[in-house]
Amino acid sequence: MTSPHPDYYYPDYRSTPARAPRLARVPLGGALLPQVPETPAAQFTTTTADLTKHGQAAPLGERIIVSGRVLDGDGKPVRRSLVEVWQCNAAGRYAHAKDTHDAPLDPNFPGFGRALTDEEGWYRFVSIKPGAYPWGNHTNAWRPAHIHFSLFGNAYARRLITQMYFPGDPLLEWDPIYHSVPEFARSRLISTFDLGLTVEGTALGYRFDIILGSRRGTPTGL
Amino acid sequence: MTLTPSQTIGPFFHGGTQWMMRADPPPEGWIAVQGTILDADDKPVNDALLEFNLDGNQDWRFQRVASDDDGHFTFHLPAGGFAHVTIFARGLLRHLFTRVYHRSEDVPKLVPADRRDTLVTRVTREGLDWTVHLSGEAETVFFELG
Repeated sequence: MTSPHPDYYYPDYRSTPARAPRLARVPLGGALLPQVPETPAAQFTTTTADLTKHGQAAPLGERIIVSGRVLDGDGKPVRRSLVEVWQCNAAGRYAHAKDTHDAPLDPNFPGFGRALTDEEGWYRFVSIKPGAYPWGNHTNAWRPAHIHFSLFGNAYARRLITQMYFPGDPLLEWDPIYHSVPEFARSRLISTFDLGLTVEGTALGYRFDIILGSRRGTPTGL
Repeated sequence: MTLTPSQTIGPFFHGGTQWMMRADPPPEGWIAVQGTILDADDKPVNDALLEFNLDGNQDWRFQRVASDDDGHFTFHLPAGGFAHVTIFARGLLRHLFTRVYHRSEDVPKLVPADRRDTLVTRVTREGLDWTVHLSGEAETVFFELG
């Protein structure tokens, strides 16, 4: 199977040349790899999955539901697995000391959440739609709106950190981080607008399914 | 079925990855290791996330730590032990898998002999340290898991 993952060295994204390893990776059999850490369910409540509930009042922006299933490469649900998300606010600013973008902070939006998948592999976050922001990679470089996802899956070799994008975003065409992915796999990173997830009068729904490698079988590059 | 591709963790992950960033004291008898992560030009990588997985079902079998402005981080190993390490950073479009060993004789022989020391802690006046070179002449050994 062809790997859907980007190469380490991708100079259009200017941070890669100094950080990409140049030597061949050493192949290692899957035996004797550690188990993924268990995530006690008690740590994950509806509050940690609702990014709009972390302040004194509601955050500014367009409220959204982001939900989907985490599946393995055989289409089986990845159950009781930790999903972490983080994102900037509606104005395109992260609540992070090193984000110097001249856009307002929102005191009611720290911008991170956690959830465990259920028995069918479903997760569900409530949030606000993140803004685009400039990042200096090239002239007029603006990141398309995105939410960072971190997944533990069910095996050490299946660990994944990725980014979810929004359908129809014109900035995708110019984004080297998105384009670092082989063309056949790019659409996996774009959520779909979903009226079924939309909550009447409250929030627009976006569906984002995440496919991790199988517990056994070809890990396709990771 | 096409798998979901990897994307960089970016520089602003710290709020999102707080689970298992440990502040409690490690188990008795474990040793602290001072880590450093450097790029191809030996400049500190100031926005890496490192995850340390240990074999077995022991306490502290998972630790996460972010590098600081000098590329420094601290982690803990059982004496004589080793950890599976996963590394994320801005500029890494995919994460990296490596290992860190307390003792050089435990490094698997499939690692080329002249590069084994990149996976071993080093004794210094202050204690133990381990330096990750993402690239450059002393590039750390990274693994492809099959």
